Amino acid sequence: MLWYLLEKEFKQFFRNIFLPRVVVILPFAVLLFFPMVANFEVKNIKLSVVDLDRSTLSSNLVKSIDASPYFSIVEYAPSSRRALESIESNRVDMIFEIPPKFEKGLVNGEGAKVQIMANAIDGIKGGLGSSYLTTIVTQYSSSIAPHLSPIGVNLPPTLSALYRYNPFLVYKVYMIPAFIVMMLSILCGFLPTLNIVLEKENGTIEQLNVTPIKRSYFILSKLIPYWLMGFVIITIGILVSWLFYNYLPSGSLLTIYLFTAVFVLAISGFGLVISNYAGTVQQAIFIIFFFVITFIFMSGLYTPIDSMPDWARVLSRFSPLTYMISAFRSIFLKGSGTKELLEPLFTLLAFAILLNGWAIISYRKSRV
Amino acid sequence: MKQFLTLIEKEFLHIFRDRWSTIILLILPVLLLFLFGYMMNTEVKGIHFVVHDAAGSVEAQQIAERAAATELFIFEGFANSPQEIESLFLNGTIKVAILFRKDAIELIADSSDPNSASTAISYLNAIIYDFYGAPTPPIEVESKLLYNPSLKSSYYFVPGVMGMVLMLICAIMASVSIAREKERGNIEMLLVSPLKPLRLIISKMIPYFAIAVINLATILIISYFVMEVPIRGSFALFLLFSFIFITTSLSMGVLISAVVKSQMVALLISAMVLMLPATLLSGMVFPIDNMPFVLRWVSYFTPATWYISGIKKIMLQGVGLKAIAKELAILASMAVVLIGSSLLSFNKRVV
Repeated sequence: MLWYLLEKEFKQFFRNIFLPRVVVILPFAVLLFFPMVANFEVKNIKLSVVDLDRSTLSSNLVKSIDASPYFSIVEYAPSSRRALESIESNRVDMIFEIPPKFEKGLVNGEGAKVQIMANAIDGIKGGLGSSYLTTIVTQYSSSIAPHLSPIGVNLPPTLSALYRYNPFLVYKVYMIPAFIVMMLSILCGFLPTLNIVLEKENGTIEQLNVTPIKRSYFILSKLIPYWLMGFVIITIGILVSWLFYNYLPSGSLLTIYLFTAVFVLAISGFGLVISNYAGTVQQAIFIIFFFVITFIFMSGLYTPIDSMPDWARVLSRFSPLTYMISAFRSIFLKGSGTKELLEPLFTLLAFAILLNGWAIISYRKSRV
Repeated sequence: MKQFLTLIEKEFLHIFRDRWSTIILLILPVLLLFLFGYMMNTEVKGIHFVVHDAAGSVEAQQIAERAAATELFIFEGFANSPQEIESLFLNGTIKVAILFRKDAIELIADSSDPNSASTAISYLNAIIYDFYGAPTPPIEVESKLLYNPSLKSSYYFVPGVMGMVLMLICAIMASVSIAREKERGNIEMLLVSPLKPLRLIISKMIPYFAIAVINLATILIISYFVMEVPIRGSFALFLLFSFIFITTSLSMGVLISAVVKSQMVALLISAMVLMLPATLLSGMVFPIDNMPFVLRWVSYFTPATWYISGIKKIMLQGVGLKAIAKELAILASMAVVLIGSSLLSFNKRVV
């Protein structure tokens, strides 16, 4: 019985000119295009330098800033007022000001003070930029300190930092797994809903309702095609990231497919639940649009969940995307295995069982 | 004139009798504002870390406590072995580990998310330097964060949401509504009436202009009173700038509706040509400087890019007319070109 239903679904799917293309082209385009744009990387901060001292030490400091990949010095302003004008018109992002008598103060041991001003409307750029600049100045400062003070100072133990899993701090690799999850949720969540609601609008669902098909068979016949589609999408995703970004997941493919299998069940189940409540295609589109947007924003796709206010963090636990995105990032970047990710896996499984159970129960053959 | 007013009344009725769409038109900006204003918090905090003390140093505990006292770090206790750290990294419990060795301290960060990793490292560096009373750093740094000292992300996103919502309401809704009249054929009825095409277009634009102004007011009230985003520049300039942008978006909507035949196509074209660039490429969320060359040029041709950049300057930097002259000029010339071509295309269709 189930077999015939599935045959019907597949025929319907492939006879539609539009659908098979969307399933292939959309993830391809999104993965090609989004990681290039969705980029919070902080590099090439435009800096205006106001050097009022013009001494050897001050120009050495400026040189060490110029050598950093994070900053590009776009102008040397004669006064801080001129530099502020550049910030107002967005020609530069930050100002670095060295006061007069900078070298003199350092040499006779009084110390000196430099000033950083950052346009902080873009909080990431402003905050991160000024902390990078502070680090450079501190490093320079400690490199010249031994030459300046004759008495030996007690240096702290050597401090080294190691960036693991993404040593070159590339933003794209962080976003690719998340965008794959986004595509899985949009396609595998949207399409089953539209499929059922369209049957409702066309009236063909009545034909199914008068047959002796069980509710669970009906739901399964709608679920399985999209479940298989999920595997196609994930494969396209991995291929694109390999071919165009030269980046392969460091975890095992088996883990990736296992998570995909469970997640697609959950998200399609969610779509089916919606389809049981929506009467028309327009209503369904609005409801899904609302949930997809909210899910995408609260699941830590763009910004870390830890940074959100408490109420938003609690809300984020109710979204299956939260678990999937963090698990996918762990598998892709860190190579985590099923052993480490048992908790998200079982949470997703619970979502899948709960949502599909709800979909089966709330499906009504009879109309009141 | 009376005829014209009747026509406008008809358009308003069209919109308000569709209750669902009215609700969405009025609620959507609020939803987007809250999503962007609260969920898209880019400030880094709540970084979990462990300490592994291989040297039996006294400082380990103290440094951990100092770090945990800041809002940025959450101490997860001591790890007994490097293997334990490894597995904590793999299941995502921690983002940073501090290893104390003989004479050396090693910071290890999970840099999957590059920005939180580098923020965490630079803060830990500062904390540790500070702890050892680093040899009175001869150069003292004073940093000042202009315009947004507490690094609130709502400052960054409110202007973006304005640009997105105005674009959405004006361009998409207007194009779909005109396309619907075409699809159903009742535009023919209007065309055979003694109304001039120009008036017809304007009567279509006015209701959406009104709704856009209401949305703008809603966004401003919420952002000003709830999210405490200031308006530092001149309010008159803000209004003028917004009205020009609304007009530009409306004429884009009319232009699209003049070319297409069905609602579906109007919706698709608006989404592809207007929505995607306006949300992704306008610098609303993602910095334009980071984009590849071609996409950057696409973003320069998107009106929302200039609107958002100008609004940020007026609202947050509080600068005057001189500093936004470029944005104003570009937006105004886009408006002239778009209104001109949308009128032309509409006239041609009529003849």
